[in-house]
Amino acid sequence: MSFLVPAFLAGLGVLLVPVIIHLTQRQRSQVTAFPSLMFLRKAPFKTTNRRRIRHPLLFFLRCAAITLLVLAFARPFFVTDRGEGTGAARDVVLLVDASASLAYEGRWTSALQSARDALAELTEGDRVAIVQFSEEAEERVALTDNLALAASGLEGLELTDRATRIDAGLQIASRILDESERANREVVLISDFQRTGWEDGGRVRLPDGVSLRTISVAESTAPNVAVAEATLQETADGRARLLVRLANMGEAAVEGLPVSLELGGRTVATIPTDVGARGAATLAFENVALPDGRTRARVTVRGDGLAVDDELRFMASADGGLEALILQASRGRAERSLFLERALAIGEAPRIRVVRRNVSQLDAAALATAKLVILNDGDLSDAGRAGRLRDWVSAGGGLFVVLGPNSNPSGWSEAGQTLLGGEAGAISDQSSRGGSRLSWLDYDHPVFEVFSTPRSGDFSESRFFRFRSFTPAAESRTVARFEGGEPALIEHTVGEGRVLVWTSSLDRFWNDLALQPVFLPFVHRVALHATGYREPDRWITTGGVLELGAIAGEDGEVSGEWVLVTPSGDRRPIERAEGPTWIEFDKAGFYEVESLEDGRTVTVAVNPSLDESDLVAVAPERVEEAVLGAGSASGEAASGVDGEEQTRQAEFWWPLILVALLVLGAESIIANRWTRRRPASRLAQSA
Amino acid sequence: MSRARIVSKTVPGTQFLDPTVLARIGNLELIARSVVEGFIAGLHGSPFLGLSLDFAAHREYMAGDDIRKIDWRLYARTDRFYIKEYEAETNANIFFALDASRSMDYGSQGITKLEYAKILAACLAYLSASQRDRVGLGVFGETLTRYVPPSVRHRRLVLAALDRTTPEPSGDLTKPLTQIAESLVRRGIAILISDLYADPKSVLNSVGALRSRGQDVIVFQILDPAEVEFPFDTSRSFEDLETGERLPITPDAMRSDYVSAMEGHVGEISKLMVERQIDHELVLTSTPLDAVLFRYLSQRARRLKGRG
Repeated sequence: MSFLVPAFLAGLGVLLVPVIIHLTQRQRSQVTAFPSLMFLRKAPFKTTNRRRIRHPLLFFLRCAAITLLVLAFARPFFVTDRGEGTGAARDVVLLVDASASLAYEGRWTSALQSARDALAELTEGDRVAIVQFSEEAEERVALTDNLALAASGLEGLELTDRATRIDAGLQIASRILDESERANREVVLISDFQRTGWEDGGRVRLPDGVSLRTISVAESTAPNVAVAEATLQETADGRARLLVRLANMGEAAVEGLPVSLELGGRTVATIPTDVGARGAATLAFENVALPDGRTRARVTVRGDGLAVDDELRFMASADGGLEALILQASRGRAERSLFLERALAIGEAPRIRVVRRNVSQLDAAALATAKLVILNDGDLSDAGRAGRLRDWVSAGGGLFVVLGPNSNPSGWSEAGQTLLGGEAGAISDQSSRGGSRLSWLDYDHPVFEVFSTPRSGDFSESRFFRFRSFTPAAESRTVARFEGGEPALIEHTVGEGRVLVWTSSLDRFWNDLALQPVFLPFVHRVALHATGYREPDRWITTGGVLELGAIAGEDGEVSGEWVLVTPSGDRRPIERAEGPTWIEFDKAGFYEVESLEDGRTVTVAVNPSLDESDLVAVAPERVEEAVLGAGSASGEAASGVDGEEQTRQAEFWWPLILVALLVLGAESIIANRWTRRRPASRLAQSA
Repeated sequence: MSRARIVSKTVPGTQFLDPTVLARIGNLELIARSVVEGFIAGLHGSPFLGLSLDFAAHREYMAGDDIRKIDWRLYARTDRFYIKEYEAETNANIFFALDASRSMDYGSQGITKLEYAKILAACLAYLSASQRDRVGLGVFGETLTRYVPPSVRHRRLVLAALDRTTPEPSGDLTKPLTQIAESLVRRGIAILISDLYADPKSVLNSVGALRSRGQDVIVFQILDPAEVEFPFDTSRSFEDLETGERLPITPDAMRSDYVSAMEGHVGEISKLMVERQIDHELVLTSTPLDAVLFRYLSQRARRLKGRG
């Protein structure tokens, strides 16, 4: 006989309650005031009277009724067809969490010991598989009845620096047991049950009949301070400011915590700082002199239970920022680029250096160092200059064209027209109606994306008194329009480069945009988007991958043999494949990607996911509930038949209910008769 | 074994006055008036009524008699002075001795024995005073703590003293009852209201002090139904209200012994008192008060008749 819902069998524990209360508690807990004890002889509790059950038959009937009800609710059934593998032998998957948080003091040892204990519980005929998981799960030992082999495999498990994903492990375990033909199947999940590893939990369901046993190795409290982030900001004097963010994941505040910055293996500064309980703190290392090239850098804090996040590794290098070349018309007001120039100069991530020239001074030397050219109300009627600029853009340069009053786009050369990406027309004068406004912005476009949320910038406040009518070419994309639907900002590509065309001016002459708060971020977004600027990756997270060509190649191309030198010093050949060669970085530390051909080396800093620093655990019961789902329980593994068949066979629960009711009826009758036997006082009867 | 007399619940012509309802009223005088007047109305035509107010006889005027008592109508017919004599002039002292020991502070029926005893004493005092009896009160626990000397004007004092009575430390009955006996200079009826948790012979000796001072004694032994039936089921500790002592008890196993012991105790007291011509009434706190009043009146009538 087996049970569909064996968890209900725990209800049999109710049988002990009256006995325990009877023998231990009741006398002490119940005191009745009485006028006089002169007629009550002393009867200490520890007499045979107290320990003897007064009405054994009633007690038996009550116990029998409870037992029958519990059995009925557990939905017993007889398995008549015991096919192959439905005996007592079990298939067990040991699911061991090897994520970075297991490095917290004692957890990994405890996890391994729990796994050994679980392995020791297995008997001959049982099969076991060992799965190690972090972000990914790996079947380290396939399902085997060779327990010695499994024990050996268990000792070979290694801690990783990667994040936790409990469902990844459960997915593998589910697949293994789904292929098993045995009735008794169990998953033993050993983990610290980090909440961050179960944020998206509940999507995996174990197969019917598979039970789940959870073993938590997490402590109730686990103080931990992590170096969460480091941001380099270059300043105008060629130095840099390093902003470091610390995260205190513990319940106690930390005071005077020394934070050290190490550059190229040398400690350059140490700053003590305070971090509140479950809070964050940001501190700045000022005037950091960045060495030439990419240099290994670390920010470290005093060690705690989890060492792997006490250090943030990154590659420090002078970014160099962007150089923007402003080309303006030789005639007209000289200060027409004032607002544009000032706006670009503000900001440190990245720092933008501005060079201003007349359009007539456009030559190859001027374009050599520029990443961005802003043609501010300039004229490109000269074919040579226009062609030079077009070639530069085609090679990947970014161009921002501002069609002010002096631009005269109708007279531009062919190369200039190519850069325009459309046909510019006459000036539209809106001053008679008080100016036009920007009525539509493409908030999905990178320039306007940052303004998409409420109260993040209002372009509708600007009034545009004049702008040029513009008919975009078919391949151009309009990303902003005026009230009348006329294009305000148009984007198109020329070769590898990107061109943005603004149909009004960027001073106070044709509009007042330069006076609006959105002007500065707008100009910065345009500059970054036009150049395709991307902040260099100073580090990646464990488990991340990089393409060999992207990190070591020239123009994305690599040749020859390469090796990967891990933080522990191991040298692993990088296997080249057709197409991109991806390199995976498992451990925290500095990796080196080295060319065997020319000795060229690229260093990659790898840090663990910050999620691993948050050691707050989710209740294992939540995992069990989510994985097993409603109507399933650990004991289902006891049966080899499927759920539908079990339900059909479980129909004999109702006779148990019937018998229980009969027993309760008999108990009531007997109890009533016996309780009526109580001798009544003659005094009371006569009164 | 001698049996105690039990006050009947079914006195003809009376209405049942639930003690627990009366206990919630709070004003003893109001309770007493309500009970007594209702009771009197129910007993219309009873031979026990109007004893103190009924005309008894005429006698010739003698020097020194109060001229206000001269029957002027008879003088007009006979031209002689006659003095009216009423039964009221034969009224006795009615003294209530109320046991307020802590054991009386027990109640399983919504009213404690002490509350019941106070209401009973108040009703009896009100009834007696309305019949021109002199009423007095002694409240005692370990010693006599309140004393109101008998007087026809002391009804309110008695009721007020009853109202203020609270449970007191317990002790032997002998000392306070002796004090009361010594204070009563005139013969009369002493009514002892107590649960009589003492050795029967000791109780008799104590009550004997009153009896020896020429008092007719009526004893109301007040008990709670739970003291008589002992209805407890589960094992528990019982705490003595008087001493604070606790005893672990298995009620089921002890019930029959307890009930027998209680019956024997009450029976023994009743037997000893009958032998000493002391009326003993066992009253359960579930007993309606008018039934007790009826019993009292019959006792009182018998006493006065016997004395005359």
